[in-house]
Amino acid sequence: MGNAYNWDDIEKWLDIIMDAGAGEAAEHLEKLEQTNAELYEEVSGLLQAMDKSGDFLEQDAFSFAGTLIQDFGSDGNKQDESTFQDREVGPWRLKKKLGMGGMGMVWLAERTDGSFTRDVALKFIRSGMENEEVMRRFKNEQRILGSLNHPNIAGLYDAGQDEFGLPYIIMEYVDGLPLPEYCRVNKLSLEQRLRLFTKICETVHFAHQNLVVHRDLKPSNILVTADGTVKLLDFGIAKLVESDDGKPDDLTISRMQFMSAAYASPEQLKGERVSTSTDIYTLGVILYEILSGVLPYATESMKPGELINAICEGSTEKPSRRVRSTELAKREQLPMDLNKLVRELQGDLDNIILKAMASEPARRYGSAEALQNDVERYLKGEPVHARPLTAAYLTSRFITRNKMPVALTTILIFLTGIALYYHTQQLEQERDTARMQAERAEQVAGFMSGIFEAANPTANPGTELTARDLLERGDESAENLATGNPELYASFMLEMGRAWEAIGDYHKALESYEKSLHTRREVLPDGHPDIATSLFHRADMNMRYVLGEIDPEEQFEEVLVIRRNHFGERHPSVAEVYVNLGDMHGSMRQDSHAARDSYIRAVNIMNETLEPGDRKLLNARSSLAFATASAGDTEAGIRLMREVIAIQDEVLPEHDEAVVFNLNNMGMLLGRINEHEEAYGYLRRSLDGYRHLYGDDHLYTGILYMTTSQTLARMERHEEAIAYIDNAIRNMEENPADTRGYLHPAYIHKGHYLYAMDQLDEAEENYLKGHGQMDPAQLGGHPAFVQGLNALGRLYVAQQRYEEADEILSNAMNRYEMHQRVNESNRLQTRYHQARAWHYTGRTDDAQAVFTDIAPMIRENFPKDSPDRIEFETYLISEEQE
Amino acid sequence: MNSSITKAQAGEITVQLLRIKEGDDMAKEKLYQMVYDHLRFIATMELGKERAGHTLSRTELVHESFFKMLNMDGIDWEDRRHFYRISARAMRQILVEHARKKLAQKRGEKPERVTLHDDRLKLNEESEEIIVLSDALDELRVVNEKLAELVDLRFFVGLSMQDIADLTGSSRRTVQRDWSKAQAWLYKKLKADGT
Repeated sequence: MGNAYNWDDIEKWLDIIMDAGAGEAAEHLEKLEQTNAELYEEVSGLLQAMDKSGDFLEQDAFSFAGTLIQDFGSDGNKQDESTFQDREVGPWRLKKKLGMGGMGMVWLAERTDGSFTRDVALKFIRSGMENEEVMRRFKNEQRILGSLNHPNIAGLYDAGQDEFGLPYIIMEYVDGLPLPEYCRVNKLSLEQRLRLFTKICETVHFAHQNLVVHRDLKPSNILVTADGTVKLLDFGIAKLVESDDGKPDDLTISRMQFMSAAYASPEQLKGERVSTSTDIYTLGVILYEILSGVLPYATESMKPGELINAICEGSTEKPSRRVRSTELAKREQLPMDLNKLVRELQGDLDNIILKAMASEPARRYGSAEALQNDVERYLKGEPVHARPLTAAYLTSRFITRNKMPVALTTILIFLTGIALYYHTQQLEQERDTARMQAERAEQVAGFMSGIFEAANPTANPGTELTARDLLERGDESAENLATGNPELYASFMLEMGRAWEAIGDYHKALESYEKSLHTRREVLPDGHPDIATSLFHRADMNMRYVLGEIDPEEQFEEVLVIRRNHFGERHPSVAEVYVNLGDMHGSMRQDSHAARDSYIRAVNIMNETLEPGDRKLLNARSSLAFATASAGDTEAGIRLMREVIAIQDEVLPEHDEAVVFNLNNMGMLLGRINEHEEAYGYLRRSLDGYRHLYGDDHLYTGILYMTTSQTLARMERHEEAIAYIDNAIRNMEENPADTRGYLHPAYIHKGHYLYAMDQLDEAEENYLKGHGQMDPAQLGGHPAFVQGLNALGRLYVAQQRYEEADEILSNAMNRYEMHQRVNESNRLQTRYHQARAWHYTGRTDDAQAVFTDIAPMIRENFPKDSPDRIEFETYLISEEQE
Repeated sequence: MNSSITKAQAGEITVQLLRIKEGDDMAKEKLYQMVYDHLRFIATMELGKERAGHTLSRTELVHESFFKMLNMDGIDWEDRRHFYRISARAMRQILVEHARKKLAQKRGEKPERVTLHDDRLKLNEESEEIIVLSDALDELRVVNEKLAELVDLRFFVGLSMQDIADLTGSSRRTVQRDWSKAQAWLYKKLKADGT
C-alpha cells in the first residue's frame, strides 16, 4: 500500500523516470527493481496507472458528476430551500421563497433594521455575466427604471450584492396571480379578459413613453391582485443581463435562461435589435393565451429548435382555429361554449392578435396604445384596424401589379436638380411624403381591403380589377350618399382622397378632398374640427403637389385657428399644422428661417404630447435639423440630427421607413460639411435599409444608390462611384415611378465621374444621354438643365471642341436671361467655361474681361478645396505662365 | 440606492480570511459554513431555474456561480488559497451529502425501477463514484497533502492549471506533473479497491 512507503522516495523515483527518455527509464526501473523490490512495485504501478488513467479527472466535478449536480435542483431537493429562510442578504432578511424566475430565486424579504416596514420582493440576478457588469448596468438604468412611477408597475426600490457578490434587486412585493391563472381562477369572461388586457397595454405604453422596453413580458411578470389590479413586474430588468450585441451565439445558452421561449419574439430569438415592438409581439402572445386558453405554439411537444423556427416563421394558427384543434385537456376552458368562443375569436380578435404577433416588427401595431385602441374598438363594437393578412396581401400585391408607387409619388418639378443642395431639398419633400404615407398606410390598406371585400372577387373569377377601377367604383357608390348622409359622405370622400393619393392620382385626390371639405362646410357649424381635417388635406395637396390655385398658407392658418380653439395650442393636431407650415416655408418659399421656426413650434408641442420615439416627433425633429442646417447653421443641424438618430436607434426597428430616411438625411448633412467618410457610413446604412424595405427596384433605392455614388465621388473613389451610379441608372431606366426625372441627373453624374477619370468620350456619351432626356419645354429653366449644358460645355473645352462649347454655353446663358430662378454658382460656371472657350478661339480680350469680372465671385462662392475653384485657380495660373 | 452595506458584507469574508491567517481555526469553520451555505443556495437557485437550455450549460452556470463570482481583487494569494481550499471542501461535502442521499433513496426503491431510467442509472453511478473518489482523496491527503490540494483546486473548484500555478507559486510544468501523479495515484487506488 502506498502509505507503507515514504512518499518522498516514490516521488523522487517518479520524477527521475518521468524526466528520462524511454530507454533510460527502463534502465532506472530495472535498477530499482534490483535494489528495492517493494518500492519498485509501487513506482511501476503508479507509472502504469499514469498511462491508463489518461485524464480521468480532467473534467471537473461538474462534468464528472453532471447528473448528480443536475439532480441537486430537482424536485426532491425542494425541502432544502427552507434552510435559506432567515438568511440575511445585505440589510434584508429572507422570509419566504416566492418563486424561481428566469434569473434566479425571488424571496419575500423584510428589512432587518426595521427602517422599512413593508415586505418587499428580493430577486437574485444570476446570469453568465460578471456581477460587476450587472451592477454597472443597473446603475445606468436606475434613473430611468426608478422613474417608472405607475400604479400598474411594481416599483423598484433598491439593489445590492450579497456577501459573495451575487446581485439582487428589491422590488415592490405584489401579492397576486399570474394573469392566465387569475383569469382561470376567477372564470373571467372574454370581455373581462379584454379589459384587463387593455390595462396592460396602457401600462406597457407608459413604459415605452419613458423609453423602457420590458423585453421579458410573460405571465409570471404580469400579476393581478385580489382586487383586480394589474401589476407588471421586472420592467427593463432583462436588459441588465442581456449581451450587448445580442448575437445568436450568446442567445443560445444564456438568453434562453431569461425568457421563456414561448413568449419570445422572432427578433429576440434571432438576436436582432429589440424595440418597443418586441413587447407588442409578446402582448399578442399573451392575448392569444388568455383568449384561447392555449399558447400560440404547441410549446410542450416541440423541441427548442422547432419552437424557435416556428416563432421566427410566424406560422401560428389563428386562435379561433387553434381553440378547435386543441383537445380540451391541453387548454384552459373559457367560461363559454366552444362554438360561441370560436365565433367570438373569428375575424377581429384573430386579426388583432395576429397583427400584434406579426413576425416582422414593421407589420405589428405601431405602439402598445394602438393595440389597446384596437381592442377597445372591438369592445365598443367599432371596426378594428387589424385586417386579415390575405386582404392586406392582396392590397399590396395589387399595388405592385399596377406599379403605382405608394411611397414615392410627388411631382415637384421645381425641385428636381443635380446639385447636392437641390437634391437634399427633394429628399426633404419625400421624407414628408413617406411620413404621411406611413400614417395612412394602415387606413388606406383597411379601406382598400374593404373595397376588395365589397367587390367580392370570388363572384367574378378571372376578372382582375385595377386599383383605379375599385376607387372609381368607390366614387360612384359614394355619390348616392351625398344627399342622403352628407356627413358620412364627407368622411368617405376624405378616405377616398387618401386612397387616390396613395396610388398617386393627386388630381383625383384633390377632387375628393374638396368634395369632403365643401360638404363639411355646408353641413357642419363653422370652426368644426372635421372641417379643419378636410381643409388640412386640401392645403396639403395644394402645397405638396403644387395643385390648385389656392394659397396653402392661408388654409393652414385657418386650420390652425380651428384646432387651437378646439384642442388648445398643446395638441398633436396643432403640431401637425406647424410641421406642414414648416414644409411649406422650406420648399415653396425656400425660407429656411421661417421653416425652422415652424418646426420648433411643432417639436415643442410634440415633446409634451408624444412619446420621444413617436415617428411624428422624430420626423419633425429631423425636419427641424434640416431647416436649421439650411438656415446656415449646419453644425447645429447635424447635432439635432444626431439626436434623432440616437433615439430612433433605440426605439425604432432597424428597417423602418423613418429610420432609413433619417439616416439618409444625416448622410446628406454631413456631406455639406465635407465629412464624406462619415456621410458614406450613414448612406450605406440607409441604402441597405431601403433595399431591405422596398427592394432593389424601388425608386427610393435607386435614389440612394445615386446619393451614395456622389459621396464616393467626393471621396475621389470614382470607380466605386460608377458602380453605384450604374445601379441607380439600372434602377431608374424603366422605373415608372421616376416621374421627377431622376434618370437624367444620374447620367450626368456618371458623366462627371468619367470626366474626373479623364475618360472624356464616355463622359460625353453619358452627358448626352442625360441631357438628351430632358425636355427643354418643361425643364429648360431648371438648374438641372443648365447644369447639363455646363457639363457638356466644360467637356468640349477639354476636348478642344471650342466652337461647340461656345454654342452650348451660349444656350445656357440664354436660359439665365429667360428664367429668374437661377443659381448663381451655375451661372458662374457657364461664364467661366465659355470664357475659356473664347480664350482658345482667339477672343482673349473677351475672355480676360470675364475672368476679371467673375474671379471675386468664384473666390467668394466656392471654397478653396472645391473642384470648381481648384480648376479655376489652376487655369488662371497656367494662363499667367503662357 | 445603498450598496455600502453589501460592501461591508463582502468584507466579512476578508475578515474571516484575515483571522485564518492569524491561526484562528474558528474563523476557518465560520468561513466554511458561509461558503457551504452559499454554494447550496446558488446550486438550488441555478438548478431550479425555469427549464430551458440544456443540462450542460446549466451546470456550467452553476460552476461559474460557485467560484467565479467572488471578486478576488485585493485579496492576497495566501488568502485566496485558503478560500479555495475551504470552497473545495464545501463543494465536496455538498456533492457527497447529496450522493449519499440519492443512494439511500435508491435502496428504498424497488430494483426494477432503477433500471427503467437512464438518468436514474447514471445518477446512481455518479453518486457511487463521487463517494469513492472522495474517500480515496482523503487517503491521498494522508500520503501527500500537496497532491490532494491540487485535486481540490482542479477537480472541485475547477481552476485551470495556470490558475493553480499562480496560486501555489509553482511552475505550470510542476503543476502538470503533480496532476499526473495525483490522477495516477487515485486511479490506482480506485482500481485496487475494485471500483
